[in-house]
Amino acid sequence: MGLLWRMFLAIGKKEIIHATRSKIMLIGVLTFQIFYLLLLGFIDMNAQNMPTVLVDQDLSTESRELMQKVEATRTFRVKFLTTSIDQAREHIRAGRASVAIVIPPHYHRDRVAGGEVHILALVDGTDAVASTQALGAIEGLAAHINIESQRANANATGGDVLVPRSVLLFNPEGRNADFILPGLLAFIISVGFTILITMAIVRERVDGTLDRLLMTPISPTGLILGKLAPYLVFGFVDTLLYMAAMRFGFGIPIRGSIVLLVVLNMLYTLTILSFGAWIGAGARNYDEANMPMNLVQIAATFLTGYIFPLSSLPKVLLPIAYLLPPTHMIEVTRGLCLRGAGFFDLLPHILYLCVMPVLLIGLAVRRFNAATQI
Amino acid sequence: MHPEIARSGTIIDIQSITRAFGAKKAVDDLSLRVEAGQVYGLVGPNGSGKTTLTKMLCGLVKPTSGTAFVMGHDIRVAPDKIRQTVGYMSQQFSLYNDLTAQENIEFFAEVHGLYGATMRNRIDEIVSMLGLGPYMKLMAAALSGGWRQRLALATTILHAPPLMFLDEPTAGVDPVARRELWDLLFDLAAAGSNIFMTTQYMDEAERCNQVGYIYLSKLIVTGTPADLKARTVASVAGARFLAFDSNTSPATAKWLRDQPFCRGATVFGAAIHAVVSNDVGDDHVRRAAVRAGFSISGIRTIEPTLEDVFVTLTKQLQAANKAAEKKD
Repeated sequence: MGLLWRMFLAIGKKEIIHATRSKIMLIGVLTFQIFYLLLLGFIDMNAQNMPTVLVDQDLSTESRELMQKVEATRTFRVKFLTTSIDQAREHIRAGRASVAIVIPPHYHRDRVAGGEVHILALVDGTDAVASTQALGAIEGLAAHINIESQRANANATGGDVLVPRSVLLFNPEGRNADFILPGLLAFIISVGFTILITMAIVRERVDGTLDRLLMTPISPTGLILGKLAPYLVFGFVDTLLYMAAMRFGFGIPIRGSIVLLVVLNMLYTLTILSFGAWIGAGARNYDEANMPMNLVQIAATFLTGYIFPLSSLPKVLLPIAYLLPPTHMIEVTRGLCLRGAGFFDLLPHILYLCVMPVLLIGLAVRRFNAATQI
Repeated sequence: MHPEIARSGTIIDIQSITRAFGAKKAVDDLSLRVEAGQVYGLVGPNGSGKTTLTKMLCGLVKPTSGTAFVMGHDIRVAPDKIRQTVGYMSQQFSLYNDLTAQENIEFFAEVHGLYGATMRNRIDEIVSMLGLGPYMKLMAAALSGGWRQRLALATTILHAPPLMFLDEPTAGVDPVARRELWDLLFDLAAAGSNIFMTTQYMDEAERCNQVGYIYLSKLIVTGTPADLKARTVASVAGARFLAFDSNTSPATAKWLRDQPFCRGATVFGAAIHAVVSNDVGDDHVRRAAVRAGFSISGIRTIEPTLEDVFVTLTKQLQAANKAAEKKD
């Protein structure tokens, strides 16, 4: 055996020792592909149970029949029934529904007369995947009804009976940037700031400066808050720069309150920082901090509605999705920028963003104390 | 804080303290009292429990059982009080490498609650005392071992702690810088600071007012250096400490250890310190060495050094442990 070959083997052998010494690393290296497989395998790209408003302006047997067909698609779940298009738009603007299907007056009369009937679909255009899915499902529904009706009256004119007209709300041109950019900031902050603050805390422990800090009158809470504060300022600057570039560089509107948007972004950044502090507070070395951070990155990519709409997630993952901060901030940003949502429309998300930082900082301090006084 | 304790009385009172990490006891049932007004040196090999003991006394690690009172505070009850009062210089360099010396000192001054003119005056005072002036603008990472330790010492004494724990403060420092650092420590002690330090260097231990020897997690002995030497001489009843000069000292020492009249031999450069039975005279030893093919150029009776003390005590302990094992 050649000398070079032996040296090569020595490096490989040492690397195996490194990789297998930490159990957590070994498990990660051997199972991460299965983890991705399970996660993505269960994400159904066909959006399901999209909250839908049915605007029934006809209130006839036929219109109720159509409603049943809408529900049977599984794509739509009728959550609201109304007769007013304005109210339907309001539901969508507030984020309570993402689709409205309008059955016009005289629907019953026109169907009986055998003429063409137009049904109108209003689709929330702030989520690219979900809106495309919704449009497809409406086309499919109409085609299905048309074929059925042709079969039933083979003697008729042969023309379509149901013609869907779709309107993409808040992003009429279906611009890609409008879909991606508002949610992107929340995504970047979640990934970037978790790493920054986690590393900043783990570094103190690894470098031994933490023991030195503990020999001062500073309390653990003061220490953690003191470490968070500067990153909150960085987050503020990042947010302003990003919004300016998004607004003026890419022409993305901010239809809601810009003050509310900035304030909520700060609360969100604080939530992310507190979460990072929680990870860092319990990690004794960089490896122990890395694993949870990778999970955060995966979760932020796939489970927060940033790429895949929440309506495409399997039901079991939804509680996790709603536990994750980016889910709420992405919804808030899309709502405020594109739909012009207001304070009360976003109330659940706002409450979440107010409670989480307090909760997480408390947990981080507890974890820090537990890891420090061993 | 109890100012009266800082000047007189018992400043550290360790009571049967034990700290286990899993099955291994880092410190095992250790008791010790340290009086105020002195430099106490804890000596022991790597892994003997010095750092764990120091961290417990600083309130950074909880004891598994037993306790200690530091400046009157129970380390189990009020570790935070102790942490805020005493100074601690850890074995690991614990300053920020990417901050300058100035930034490091100012940071620690501020977290200790100093500010404004008081802070500036205190920093000026310490910087001039430690001679750090020319290095203040350098990154901590760029400082050499000796200056790094001086910087660490500067941040430790900023808040004028009445008691300082220094864990191997001179590790990795060259001999000249080491001597200078020691002069500084004695200046501090003379100015009223109580110092509890650990070291691996016997010459440093010799300079302490009181010395303790920790071996395999247990405190073997404690007392003044002179007291320990006297006790060791007494402990080797019927034998004396001899120093041999030999230009083949390692081989000669190896041979000496096998001789029935020798109870132990340690190499110190070209010299050997050995405990030799009083039954044989110096000349007898010299003739036996020459017959065996070893040259010995000088023999003299010596007072044991602290190293002799610790080596002898360790050997006695190992022999006792072995005997106990055999009995079992």
